[in-house]
Amino acid sequence: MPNDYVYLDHAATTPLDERVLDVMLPHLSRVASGNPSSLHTPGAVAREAIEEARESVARLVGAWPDEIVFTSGGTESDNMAVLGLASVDPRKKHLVVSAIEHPAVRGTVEHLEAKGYEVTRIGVDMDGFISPGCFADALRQDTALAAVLWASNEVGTLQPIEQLAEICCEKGVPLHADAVQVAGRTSMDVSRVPISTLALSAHKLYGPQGVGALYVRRGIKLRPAFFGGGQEKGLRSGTENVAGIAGFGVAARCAFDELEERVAHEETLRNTLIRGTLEMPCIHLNGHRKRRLSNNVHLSVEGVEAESLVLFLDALGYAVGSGSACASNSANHKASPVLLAMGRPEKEALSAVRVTVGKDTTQVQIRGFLEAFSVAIAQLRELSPLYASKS
Amino acid sequence: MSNYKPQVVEHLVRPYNVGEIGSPSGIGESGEATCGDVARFTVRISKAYVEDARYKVYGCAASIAAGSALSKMVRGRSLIEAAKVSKLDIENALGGPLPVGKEHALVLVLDALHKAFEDYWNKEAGARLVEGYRGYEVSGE
Ligand SMILES: [Zn+2]
Repeated sequence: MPNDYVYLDHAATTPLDERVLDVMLPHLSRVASGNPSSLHTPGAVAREAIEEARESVARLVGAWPDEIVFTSGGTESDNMAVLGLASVDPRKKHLVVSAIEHPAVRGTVEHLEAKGYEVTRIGVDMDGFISPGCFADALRQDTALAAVLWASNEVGTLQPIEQLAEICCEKGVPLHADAVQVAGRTSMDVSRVPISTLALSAHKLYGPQGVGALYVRRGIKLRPAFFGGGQEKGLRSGTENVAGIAGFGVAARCAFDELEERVAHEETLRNTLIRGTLEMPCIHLNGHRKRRLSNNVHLSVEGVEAESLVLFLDALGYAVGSGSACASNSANHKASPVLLAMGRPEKEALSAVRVTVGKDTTQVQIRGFLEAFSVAIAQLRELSPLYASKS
Repeated sequence: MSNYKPQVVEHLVRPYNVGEIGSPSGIGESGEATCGDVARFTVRISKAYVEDARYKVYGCAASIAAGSALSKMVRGRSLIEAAKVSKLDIENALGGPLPVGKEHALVLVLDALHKAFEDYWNKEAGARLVEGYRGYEVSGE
């Protein structure tokens, strides 16, 4: 990859912050910290690193440190929460989720559905918002849990989570929120918002891949994910990923300390991107113009298929995401279920790209990107039999 | 780096023979506009030779590259030779097998080209019925 390659896919993963790496390296080196469960000094060093990280992650979301359980990432956290909450009361066999959940929740819920759970999926409007009224109506006596993607990993829509949490609280239904994209991009305070569980991931906020956390509110019962040595308050047995957790801690601390400036910086770049791309012909912004993640721009480009656009831009030195990063792994073209749920025609859903900036992205890079983008879509449209027939 | 061979990306960024021929000898289209890739070939045939072949594709990089490679292979060739170009020939021109799940690209562009030839033959057959086979006699007859 050339040195001037520009990375604009921060929703997929973020580059590791150097400050994070500096803290991780000693734990990976030969003078390694020990097993956090050991009594000796190296064990204590590891334990201390984990507890320090726990405090930082807790502070980022407004939680108590003992409410944070470290996991292997967002997907595990989502699985642990949904499966853990669902199996608390065997009489409750009903689940409520949004129609635009992350695959980690969607897949887990489908698994439970196959095992006999009833699932209500709440539709979204054309901007991707859940209606709090529909949400409230869906909750029942036998609802084991509700799950909502706080900020869409695709279109960036920010759900009215406070309102949804209040509704759940009133009805006595635990609410799980996937906050993987939103953590470090909006101020969060679970001490004021009655969310039961919250999924977090380190590598979306400049920490390492393979580490995440689940916030579990005090008093919320959860069936353990793994059984064994009883680590992480018995919820997640297994020797901890000490270096990764320590890195997550620093990443969370930096995100907390730098939140305002990061958000302001990202929003400026995001708005430049939105303005610049919407000036080009036949491009639509998906999701709400303002109530969206600070770093997310999600576009449907008429007459151009997403994969070819992503690879074209890659060849020009810019990394962006295709409509949905996870779907592009599957063998054939798959329209994004999120855009389909938002009522977009399938053709638009196949033509969607996601551009996500980061704390270190510059205005110069964005200007360069806009030029490359305009070249790429012009050339691909010249190639396109669908676009030509239009103009 | 994608799963594609560099040749595919090269064709994607600098495709050959993009466009449409005005009043072509044949037009062929394949694919499904609502849910996937679409290809269109226009050809100009003269004396059973493919004088020109132009293509357009809406679709993934594989389909765009396959169309480009195919158009390059058939231009200037006899109709018979051009009709014989296979999926394997296109893959070879693209540096080897396409990634798993991308084979549809080969079918798509070949289908469009074959339909363009078919269109030409149908028109030719119609014209011969009216005008007879003047100019088509094998020499010496
Ligand atoms: Zn394709």
